[in-house]
Amino acid sequence: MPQATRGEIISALKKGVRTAATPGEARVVPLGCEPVDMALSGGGLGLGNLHEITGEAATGFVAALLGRLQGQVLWCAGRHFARPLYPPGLARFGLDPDRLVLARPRDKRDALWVAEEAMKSGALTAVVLEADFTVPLSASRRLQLSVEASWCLGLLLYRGEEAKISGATAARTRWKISPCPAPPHTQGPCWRLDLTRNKGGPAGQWEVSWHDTSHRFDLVPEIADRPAGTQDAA
Amino acid sequence: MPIDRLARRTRHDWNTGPLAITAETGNRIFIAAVNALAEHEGIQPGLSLADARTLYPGLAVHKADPAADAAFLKYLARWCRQFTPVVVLNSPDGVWLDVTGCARLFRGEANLMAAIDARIAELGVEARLGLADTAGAAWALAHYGTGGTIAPPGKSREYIKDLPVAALRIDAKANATLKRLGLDRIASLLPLPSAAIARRFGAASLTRLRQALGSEPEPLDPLPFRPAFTARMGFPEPIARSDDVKAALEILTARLCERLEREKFGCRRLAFTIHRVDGSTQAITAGTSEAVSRPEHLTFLIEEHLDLLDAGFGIEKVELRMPVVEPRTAVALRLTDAAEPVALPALIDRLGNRIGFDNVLRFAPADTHIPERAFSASAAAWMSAAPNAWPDLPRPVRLLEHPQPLDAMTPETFSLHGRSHQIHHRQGPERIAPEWWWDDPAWRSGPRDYWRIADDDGRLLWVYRTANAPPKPGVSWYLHGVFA
Repeated sequence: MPQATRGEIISALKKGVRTAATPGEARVVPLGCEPVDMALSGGGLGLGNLHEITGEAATGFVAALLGRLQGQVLWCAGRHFARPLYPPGLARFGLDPDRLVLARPRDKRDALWVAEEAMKSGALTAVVLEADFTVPLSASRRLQLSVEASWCLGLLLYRGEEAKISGATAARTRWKISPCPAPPHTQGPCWRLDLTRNKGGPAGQWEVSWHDTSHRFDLVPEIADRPAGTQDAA
Repeated sequence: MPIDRLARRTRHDWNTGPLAITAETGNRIFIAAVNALAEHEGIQPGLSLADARTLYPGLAVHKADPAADAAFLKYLARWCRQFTPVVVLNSPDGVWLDVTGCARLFRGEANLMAAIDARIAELGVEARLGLADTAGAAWALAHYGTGGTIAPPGKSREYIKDLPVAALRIDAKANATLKRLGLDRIASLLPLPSAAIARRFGAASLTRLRQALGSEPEPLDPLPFRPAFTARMGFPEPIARSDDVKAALEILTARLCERLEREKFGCRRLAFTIHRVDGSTQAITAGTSEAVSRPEHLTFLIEEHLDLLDAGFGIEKVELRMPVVEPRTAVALRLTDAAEPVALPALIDRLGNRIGFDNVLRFAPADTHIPERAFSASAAAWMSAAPNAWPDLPRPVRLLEHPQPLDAMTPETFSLHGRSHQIHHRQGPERIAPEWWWDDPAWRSGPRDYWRIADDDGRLLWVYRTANAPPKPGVSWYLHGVFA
């Protein structure tokens, strides 16, 4: 078989497989919880966009989002961070640790460089930048431009105090994820999602629970039957 | 040869006085090599150092360095590539050259031998040469012949038959036996039936004899031919602008990558050197995680650090070298991934070259129940995204490096950082026992019972209780991780 036609055949095959696999370009990550997805333009967290996530339960939420995606993920966290990521716990959120590449930059400058390079490369479906510093507006704009080019999901995971998050950002959404009491008989964690900033959509607040086996979010009923002191004693 | 190496390294003429190289076995220090003057004094290899000193008190002595000798021999072998491409190391002190078809280039075998002799003498190395049909016969002529002997084709038998049997490369024991029997010349072995030789002097002796005579093949392992991937570019006028350097880099990379592609090699390490007008050089080096032959990938790795170079008064020459190249292995074609499979290794290389390859990691599960060691992180550059079996256990997403003591733990409440929390829900226990074969200071307190507890704010925590003796009096509960 001649060399040139071989390449053509492969690209044609790839195209065929791609169109068969994804009917209609799905360029969002739906949370699998209708009211939340409705608030987001496109029906989910947009790929090719930057999203800021903060709050006590941010790590779990990020892991859950990544778990709803396919493909390789880069997680960038400074090497001095306390409480590093613990891979064996990620599988519960659908994020297979084998899909993860961890980058440990030395300082803030390297961290931003790593995130930008990774977002631009087109080799990854998502990039998480764990930051304990304020990402300035100009830097967030650079990151936003990088993800736009590659259709990769950019997540900015803020750690520590909320005060670090400045007002201005180029990110499309900003979330605050905090734990909330679970109604009885739910297995997974329950979180309050505070969508404080949403370009082209309303802000909102939901209480959701994460379902370990189906890997999706369920809305916690408004009037939950929560007797205090319920225990599943062993 | 060790003496020639010493002379080359120290740039000193050691032929002004007797010199010996010594080696040690056990407690005995003996002479391994001597120069001509020492030999004249009666000092022979194999003599003990004390005896040698008695013979000639002013003997200069140097310790043997077998590693350096081996390296020097390898260097000599590579140097011999000027005569033939097929060069075989014969440790510890010999080199075989397969000159089949090469003699023509030197107008005959005699001229070739003369050329080798002259050039190796220029190098300051004393060498003895021998040329024959077989490697064994050539070895015999070089070691026991008159030096520079050429056995014409088909005449090896006549040329080696008068040499001592030691010229057959047989072991010392067989040599001693043969000597005792009076069979001290190769000629005396020739009429014997081969079965008798094998039976009485060992099969190896027969093999060596037959190899020298050419009736049995001798496999030789020539030095691998490592192609040099280097490209240079000189400028009629010195350049200084970074754009120009970049353009030069791109041209050189393209040139080398074309060759890599053609010869099915990939680059593992590359070095870009600029030669400045003032005669100094500066270099940028980069490594890759797999054999790469794509010019964009390689250019990127260097380009990133171009600003570290200082052009000074101008650059007159640039050079791109690939000191380490490897044959490229075929990569399975993937149809489903939208991203090109080469993009991720390229990214890992770029990140690794900036923040260090040991800071770009992938995870693999480890075969232990101890949470702190349940996974291993290794450099992503040397690891593929292999599917691993991760155990399905309730584990937190963040693990505390140092478990925090929980105060006032009751079935309903606990207190952390001085704040009291209600326990809303709990699950457990999961008992994890320390591994007796691994003394982990953190686990000296014995087995732990792990619980998942939810507090009234919905926080999910991973806490444990040391089942046996609490390490601190009064404190037996610890927070070890958070789920979310």
